[in-house]
Amino acid sequence: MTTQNFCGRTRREMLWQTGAGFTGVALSGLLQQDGFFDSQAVAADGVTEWKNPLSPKEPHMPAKAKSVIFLYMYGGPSHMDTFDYKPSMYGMDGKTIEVKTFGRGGHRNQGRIVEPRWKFKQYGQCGKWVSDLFPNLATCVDDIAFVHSMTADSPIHGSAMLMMNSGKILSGHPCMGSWVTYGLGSVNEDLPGFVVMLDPRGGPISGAKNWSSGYMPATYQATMMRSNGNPILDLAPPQELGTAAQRTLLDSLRSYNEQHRAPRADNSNLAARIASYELAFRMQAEAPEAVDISRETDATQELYGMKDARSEKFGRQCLLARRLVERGVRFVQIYSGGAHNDDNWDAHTDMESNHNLHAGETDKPIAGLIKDLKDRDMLKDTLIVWGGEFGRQPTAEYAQGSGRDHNSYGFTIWMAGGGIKGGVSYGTTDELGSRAVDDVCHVKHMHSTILHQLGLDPMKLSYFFGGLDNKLVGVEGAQPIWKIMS
Amino acid sequence: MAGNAHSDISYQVELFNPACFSFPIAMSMLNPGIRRSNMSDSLFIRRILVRIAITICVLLGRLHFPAASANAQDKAQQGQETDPVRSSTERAVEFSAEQTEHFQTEVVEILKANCLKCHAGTEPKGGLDLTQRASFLKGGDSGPAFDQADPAASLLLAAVRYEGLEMPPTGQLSPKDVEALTKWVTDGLPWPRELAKIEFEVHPGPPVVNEESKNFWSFRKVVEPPVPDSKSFTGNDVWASNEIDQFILRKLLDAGQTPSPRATPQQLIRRAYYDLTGLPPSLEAVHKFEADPSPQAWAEVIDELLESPHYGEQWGRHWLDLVRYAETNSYERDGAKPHVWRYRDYVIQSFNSDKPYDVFVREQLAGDELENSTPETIIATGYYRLGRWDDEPVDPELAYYDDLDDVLTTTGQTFLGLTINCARCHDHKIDPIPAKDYYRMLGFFVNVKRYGNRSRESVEEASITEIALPEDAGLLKAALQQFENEMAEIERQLTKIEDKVRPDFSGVEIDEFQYEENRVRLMEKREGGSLSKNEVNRYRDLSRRRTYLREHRPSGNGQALCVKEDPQSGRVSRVLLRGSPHAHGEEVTPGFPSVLSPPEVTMPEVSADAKSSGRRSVLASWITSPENPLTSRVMVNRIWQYHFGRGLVKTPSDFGFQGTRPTHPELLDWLAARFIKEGWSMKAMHRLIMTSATYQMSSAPRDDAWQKDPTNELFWRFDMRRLTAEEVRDSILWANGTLNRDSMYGPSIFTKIPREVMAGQSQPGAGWGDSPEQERARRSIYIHVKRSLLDPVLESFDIADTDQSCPVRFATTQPTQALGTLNSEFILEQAQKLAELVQEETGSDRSAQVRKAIERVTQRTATDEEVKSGVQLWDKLINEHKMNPDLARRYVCLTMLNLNEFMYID
Repeated sequence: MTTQNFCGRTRREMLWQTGAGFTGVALSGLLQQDGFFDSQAVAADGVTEWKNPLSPKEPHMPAKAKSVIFLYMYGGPSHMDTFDYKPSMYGMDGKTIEVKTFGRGGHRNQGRIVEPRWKFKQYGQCGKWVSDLFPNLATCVDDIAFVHSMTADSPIHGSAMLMMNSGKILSGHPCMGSWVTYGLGSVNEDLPGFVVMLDPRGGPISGAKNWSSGYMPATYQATMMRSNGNPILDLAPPQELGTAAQRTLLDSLRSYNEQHRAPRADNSNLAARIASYELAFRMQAEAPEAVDISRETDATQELYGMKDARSEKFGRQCLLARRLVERGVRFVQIYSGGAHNDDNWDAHTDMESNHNLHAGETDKPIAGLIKDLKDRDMLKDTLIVWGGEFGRQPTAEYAQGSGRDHNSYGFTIWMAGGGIKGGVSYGTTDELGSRAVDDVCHVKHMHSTILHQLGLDPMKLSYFFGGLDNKLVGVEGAQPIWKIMS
Repeated sequence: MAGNAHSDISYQVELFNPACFSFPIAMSMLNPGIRRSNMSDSLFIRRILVRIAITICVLLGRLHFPAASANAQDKAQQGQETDPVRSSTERAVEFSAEQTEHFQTEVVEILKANCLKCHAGTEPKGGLDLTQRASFLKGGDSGPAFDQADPAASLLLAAVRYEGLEMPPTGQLSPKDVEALTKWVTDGLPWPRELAKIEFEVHPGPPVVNEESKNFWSFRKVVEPPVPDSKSFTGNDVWASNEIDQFILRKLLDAGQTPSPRATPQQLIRRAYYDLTGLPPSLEAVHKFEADPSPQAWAEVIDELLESPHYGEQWGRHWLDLVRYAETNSYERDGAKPHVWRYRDYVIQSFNSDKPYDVFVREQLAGDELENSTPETIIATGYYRLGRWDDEPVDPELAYYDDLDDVLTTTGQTFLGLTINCARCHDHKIDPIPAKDYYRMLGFFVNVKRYGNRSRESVEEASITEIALPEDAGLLKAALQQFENEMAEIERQLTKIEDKVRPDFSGVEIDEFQYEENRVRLMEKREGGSLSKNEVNRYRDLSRRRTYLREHRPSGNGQALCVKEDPQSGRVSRVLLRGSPHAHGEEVTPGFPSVLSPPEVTMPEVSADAKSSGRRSVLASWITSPENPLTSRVMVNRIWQYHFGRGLVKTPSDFGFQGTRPTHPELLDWLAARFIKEGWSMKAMHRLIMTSATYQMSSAPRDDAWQKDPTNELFWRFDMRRLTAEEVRDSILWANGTLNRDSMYGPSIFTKIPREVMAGQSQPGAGWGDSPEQERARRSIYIHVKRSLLDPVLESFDIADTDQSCPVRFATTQPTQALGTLNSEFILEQAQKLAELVQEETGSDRSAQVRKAIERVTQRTATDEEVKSGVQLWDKLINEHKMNPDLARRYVCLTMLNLNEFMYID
């Protein structure tokens, strides 16, 4: 009869189900063998010396990437209008064909082709076809690996976004940035390890569920960061107080707390809480500096498209992402598109106006980010991921207009930097882009690839909850996409 | 070569379904198959298909060298009898040191990491064992893995290259690994002579239900153990105050430990107040107890607290954690659950009235099926409606099962401490719970209607019912009439505005209009166009008013969120292969987990006009039976946990094989037996526990005891704890005198959520309202629980996960908490109120004000030294930082609200 020790579950169960509240005998010894559990376990057992759960941890294996910048194209950008060139669709506009699709409009067996409204040209040494939507980004194709054969479990925004962010269509699971900071901590403890920046038009649907740490402690959820004003909630001391007076206050607080702690010196939580005030104080100084882009040259700001009103906002966020990554932030997610409908890439009505807008806002900033990282020799260990929760159908959604419905049977994402091979296209969709046909990838293969590049073994990075060793890539696991690695 | 336990299924998928990643099938690929014992007919057919498929593959693969392959197989078989490593024809083959080295350093690791989980042990997948060289030659159901005549054409290599067979099924191996395997195979499988077999420990497979597993400690019936004899406690017998202490002391003495002395009266009373009500005592109450801390006075304090209405708020909240209570549905719309707060009130009232636990459980599981069902017991069945609800599911059948799974998961973990949920896709890997038992349990719920089907109307149909509470019928009728009239008028006016714009809706807007949540936005888009500013404003106001009215239907009569069944649904419970709703296995009858040696289930007859099948009553009767081995153990353990910070079993929702064993098994069983004997009274259990000397021990460290038992396994002292999220917020409001604790029950309130946090929503502010200041100052349990938008103060201090049952809260320490308690608008407002309070109550003397502030947060007399430090801080803020004295007072108070002593209980 199996009782103890199956995958060491007993101990983890104990740690996690007790909310890391109380731990067993000889705990610290056990934990040392198991690097992924130490930080949280000591956060509250009151015995082991406290360490910031976000302090850096050793990866499972040598890492190719230190940080991730996930450019999330919310709403679902169309693959056949951007990077997945379908020459046979040209000249077919309006033709009714048999094709199986599944989107918000349900299952359909036929539809009216919407010919892509943009021309494609070849770029770079690799000769990649890119549509006119991305004239700047197209010049970077030799640094990019495109995955054209992505699939997801849902073509409905709510569940599909959860899947892209957390690997599951059910709400309540930790998202990728949480997994990464749980596994690796963050190099700079004075800044949050996992940062999300939103489109000025609003958050995505389901809001905070998209950057939630689910059943993991709140330590691992994202911090929303703004590119203007006070970057982090409650970061700035009240003006009427000011930093100097706050220092006086904190010194006084510390002396009270030390007095309280003296007869309770065995309880490390009390020391931890004292230390957390110092960390907070340092964060107050560090974060505004990190977001102060006035120190960036005109040329840099121009590179990111910040001189153009259209791309200024996303450009600023991309530049900010570089500054954060430079300072050791582990995972940055930027949303292009917010709120509803045409405020994001969800082009149900008119492909042209929608994609011209969103591509126009992001093309130059993203190209600028890649070039800038490259110039600074940072691209090699910064992994950039671009994509949305799904792609779009080859056919029209409604009787009129060029709008396309959602498509999770096949779509494109791309990655660059962080040990990813440039100038590569992996996987294919059929000639209409209606579904992936070769080298079919699932969202979890993409997750697996990201974890792998960060030096985390996707099959080993697990968190015990609800009777199960949960993994970002699912309990069964998923191999990384080896062929796009350099 | 498989990397998981169900590789054969994926062959089938790859071969027969090119669109293999559509969700249901992808799901089936990813979930292990049902094994041996309960293989159903349809699974059997599938297996045959799989075999055929594999055979086709193999034949294709062999086309080149059929003879060589067959030959190799024969030889391999012969060879196996004489030499475990070399086949007979290979006798002379010798490998170089470099080759065997390569095998041992690289290949073995690849095999272990990717293949052996399935292809090793006594029953390797597909009959293919990859731990011995000879077995590579012999191969499995698909033929030899190695082709001696043409190694490069070996099946093994085809499989890892994803040509025909695709192994491992989790995705292709890295090119480096494939290359290493290729070299090894083309070298002719170099293998050191001395290595008979690669050592690999195969997981033995799911535990079976047998006499041994039925005899596991928590699956056995509770038998009341004898209480350790106090005569043996030489010298310590005076310490023990009741039976609990006798159990605890026995273990301590056996370990050479002694119990800690009683905590100070101030510590004790603060501990008791927080424990039972989640609020601190007044300084007067502390002083009174300090004057007479006798056991009798202590018992009186406990009685008083148990009578306090705030007891139900504190302990009710524990229950809400377990049932993942939330007031919205999550997903895109995250819509509000109508009337859900009545369930929260039901829980609070149940605790306050000391409702016997068995009744409490029965009402939640089957309150609608009771003979004497009442509005209260109907509200209790809101239990079934607390979970997530995807109103736009990608696969409706899957969503139906996901929702039932959510109920079964919560029911299993909460009431039984069993992770039955792990047996949804396959037999439980660690506990003796076959998948069949999961589906038998699911059989009790199959007639439950899904929460709704998209529209609000469908939710009303499936999950809402009229309840009549006994109040003045005449008044009520009038109020209801007025209510209905107003609602009708609002609807009329809204429709009028809607009708103006409906004709110009295009594509996506037509869909969107179906959801009420979207309508205001659709109207706003037309401001200045087909609608005037006035009309849009009017629409917005009317919508708000409608939302408000729905939640404020005249009380006395009203509606409740509840369970509803469709007993004529014809739904039966079937085993779902790999958990896939589209892969039906055998039909099963409702039943309880077999390892618990349950009684036979007799299902009630269902009349043609019955509203309910009565099945859930059968389940409730078994769960609440005194014979059930788990129910009372699990609940007394939870009670113990909430008193002491951790349970006797530290995994309170997992009493299975993978849970921890109780540190004090006899005590746990004794308490479980006592719980039943006392009529499942929770208050009796609180009294018993809190009057024990164990509960009253000091939390101070003692070197000798600490050295032996640093984590307090044996309860040699009481453990300190941090306040919970709700306690933090409530205590801040309590300290400054603004907590509105008298206002209990009713629709939830909305706190002020900073704009920056709202900015994360796709429609900032959507689904969050305003409450008047007085309402905002109510206790945290009344704050609206919106799954996608949590109050940041509560969230930062680790409130319960809203999506899944939360048996133990985290208690994290992080810098963002400090930022919140130093800089947030909330804390500054509260500090200001504390400043006003201390000034009002003590006048102008700074020392007196500081003293008051310290006493408000610590509930003890401040020392002169502490007062002096506070005054010094005040002076410094004025003199060095040029603050005006009033403002400085605010920051002195803010400092006090940040004290560790405020946040921690001894």
